[in-house]
Amino acid sequence: MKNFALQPISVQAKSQSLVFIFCNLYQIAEAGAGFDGGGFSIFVNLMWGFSLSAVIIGQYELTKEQVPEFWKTGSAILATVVLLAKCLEVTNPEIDTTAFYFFFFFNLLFGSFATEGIYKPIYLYLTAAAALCGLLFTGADIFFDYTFPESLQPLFLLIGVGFTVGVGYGNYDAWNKN
Amino acid sequence: MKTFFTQPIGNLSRQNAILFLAINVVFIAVEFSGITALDAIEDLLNFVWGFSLASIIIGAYYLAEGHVPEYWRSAHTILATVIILGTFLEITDYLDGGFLPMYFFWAFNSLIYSLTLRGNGVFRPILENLTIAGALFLTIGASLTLFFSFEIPESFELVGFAGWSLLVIGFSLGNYFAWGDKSTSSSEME
Repeated sequence: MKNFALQPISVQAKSQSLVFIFCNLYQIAEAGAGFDGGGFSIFVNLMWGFSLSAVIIGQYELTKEQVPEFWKTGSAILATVVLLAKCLEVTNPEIDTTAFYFFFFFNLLFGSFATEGIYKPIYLYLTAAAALCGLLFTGADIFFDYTFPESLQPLFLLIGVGFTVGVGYGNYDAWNKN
Repeated sequence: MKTFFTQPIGNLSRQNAILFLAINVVFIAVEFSGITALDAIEDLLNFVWGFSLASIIIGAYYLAEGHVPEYWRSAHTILATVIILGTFLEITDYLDGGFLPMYFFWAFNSLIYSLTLRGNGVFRPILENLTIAGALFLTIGASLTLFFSFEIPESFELVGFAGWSLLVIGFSLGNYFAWGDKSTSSSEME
């Protein structure tokens, strides 16, 4: 356990990227097939937030040569926001956490502008595209009470896949290069 | 866009200080005039309010660096997180009224921060004193409601508004000018 907690950030971030990919695939399959995994789904939901928080903390370490030092504080805040959103959802699914995700997509999109050269272009563009769509959907919902029509639902799947590959595998690949 | 987000903390803090002041002026104008034209974007304004305040708080550690212990950085991170999360909770409408503990926490920390740095030359004295006075007002006001369930009478609302205005002006302009003074003294030393 001590070794697990004390492993270098690169190893931790890579493991968590894989956990994040698994959680996304599970949730996409769950939504697509319409099954309910009960307690395991709740566990996966929480792990989604935990792994993403670890990936976000690792992202600063990946990009620290290219960004100002205060981004370290920003990353810690963003990781807390993501983790807390998941904790709230797990505690009570009725709680609307859209604003938390708006903040996350906002940071993800603008963060991707500053991380050129760290991620392979394909992962960077996938992340930016998913973040932009996420920003539009969540922003329209919380600020203007507008919900996009159901005919656009397939787009959510594309966002989910782009997000999984861009953020999940993109980070794994970037840490591999480092 | 990349340049905007990777600019030095001093520039970002100064822009956010002005933005924070402007948003508060808009809120006060809306409150007093009773206009409803901005209702549709109230949540958006709320989000910008929280975001700009959190950015100023993150920058405030770097202003005080050298005068305060290093663990204050973690404390500033926690305070900025509380502001962001508190703003989100207000936007989601799950709270009846505002999220009072957030305002108490902000005012109390601003009071401690300003009193600690008082006389060190980081902030201009007039703005430093405005911040202390405003933070003291707000800390007392929020404590009365939060800890003693004391409802402040309507006749005292103007006093509360004055305290809020003092804190907003002192805090935003204080940070704005402090960053300006810091960059001027840094370039003079070079």
